[in-house]
Formats: sequence, structure tokens, C-alpha cells
Amino acid sequence: MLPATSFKRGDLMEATLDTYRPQMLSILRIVMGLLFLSHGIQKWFAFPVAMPAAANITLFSMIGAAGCIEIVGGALCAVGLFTRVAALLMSGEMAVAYWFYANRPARGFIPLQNGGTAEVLYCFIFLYLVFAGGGPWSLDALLRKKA
Amino acid sequence: MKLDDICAAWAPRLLSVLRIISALVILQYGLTKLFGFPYSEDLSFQPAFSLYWDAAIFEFVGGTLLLIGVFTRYAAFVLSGETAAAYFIDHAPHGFFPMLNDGDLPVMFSFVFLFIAAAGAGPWSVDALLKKK
Repeated sequence: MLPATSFKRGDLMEATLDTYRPQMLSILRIVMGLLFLSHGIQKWFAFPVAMPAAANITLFSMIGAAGCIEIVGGALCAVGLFTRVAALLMSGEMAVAYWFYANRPARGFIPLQNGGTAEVLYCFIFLYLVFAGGGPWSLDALLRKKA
Repeated sequence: MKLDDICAAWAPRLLSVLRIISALVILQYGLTKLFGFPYSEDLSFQPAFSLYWDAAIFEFVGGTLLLIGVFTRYAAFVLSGETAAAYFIDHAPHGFFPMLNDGDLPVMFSFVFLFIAAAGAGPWSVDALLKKK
């Protein structure tokens, strides 16, 4: 560690926090994966509560495809396998959900009013995961170590 | 590999984008509770010093700081706590799963702000500008 005199105020805290950044990235990735997975499970298996829009779900419908992406992508994201590809798919799905499926722009510009807040946040967090990857606590990292 | 290089170069910038977007999203909750813009039937115009009003102060001040990227880590850490409290006070009593308690938004907020507290503001921020000087 550098001598304390070389730090400006707050720098030591930043340096300490920066050492935990990769682990925090993995924690964020796991939570986001599980949340997304639970949306897919709700659509396809009506668990823990049925979703009215997904009552007669079929594979080749928009909501069916969305459910598939959410289950497969969410599970991959949670364990950190093919994180970047899965995150890209899920980010794209959320963009489609916002602009086309739920047609949020027709209901107002501001997400709080058009109800699309969660979609915006999902979309951008997954977009970040595309570039940042899965972090150290992931199957990706485990496989890279063996290779 | 080339794709890895591109990702490594753009990850910090995307961190700034994520910070700005999540700041805008939390800011709208602060603004609607305090000033009624954007107007929301359920949230707007909370009585002063009520629990929701207190939360709105955090959301407004913290969201603004995050948006421009000043004191990013402090603001993000406080907001992470605020949204976690919102989850446990407002959502957790309605059931364990976010599908039951409608709580996936506060969960996302809490973890994304916790991550920003650890990762900092990224290059497109006032923090980064000040550090350069």
C-alpha cells in the first residue's frame, strides 16, 4: 500500500472500494439474473402468482418468447455463464418491451407516468453487464481459469 | 482479443451511462413526491416530514448528485440504503417474491446503487473532471 501522505482526502476510501468493485459486479449480476428469472417463471409457470397477460401463453408469441429469454437468460446471468451474450439478449428484450410490446412512448414520455421504469432500469443494467462481463464469481471466470 | 479490448475500453463509459440513467430514474420519484412533476396519482404531493416526503428528499438530493456525478460514492451509498429501506417498509410485508410484493424496482435500485458506490462515477462525471485537475 502507498504511504498515507500520498493520498488526498477520500482517496483511501476510493482505493479500498475499488478493490471490491469486481465482487460487487458479480453480486449485481446474480441479483439481476434472479429477478429476471423470476419474471420468466411467472409468465410460463404462473409462480408465485399468475400473470393475467400470460394466461394463454404460447411459444411463438411475443410474451412466450419473452418468457423464454427471461428464463434462459436470467438463469445464465445468475450463474454467470455466457454472461455477455445473455445480457445483450435481455437488454434487447427490455428495449423491445419498452418501445413495442408495452408501447410506453404512447403513454407518455416520462417512465414514471408510462409505467416503464423497471424496463428502463433492466435495459441499462444489462447493457452495462454486456461490457463489464460477469465478474470473478461466475462460471465464465471459472472456465477461463481452467482454459 | 479485439472484442475484449472494445469491451474493456467501453465498460467505464457504460458505467457513467448506467449512473446517469439510474439517477434520472430515481430523480423522478423525488420530483413527483416533492413538486408534483411528473405528476403521479399515488405519489405526488406528500405531506412535509412524512415518511414518503423524507424519502423524496433523499431521492431528490441524491439523484441530483448522482446525475452530475459529484460525491458519487457517498450519494450512491445513501440511496442504496434508502431504497433498501423502501423495500423492507413498503414491499417486503406483502410477500417474499418480488412478483408478490411488486418490489423488483427497489431491489434493482438498491443493488445498482451499491455497485455504483463501489465502482465510482466513471469518466463522464464531475468527479472525474475534478480528479484530472
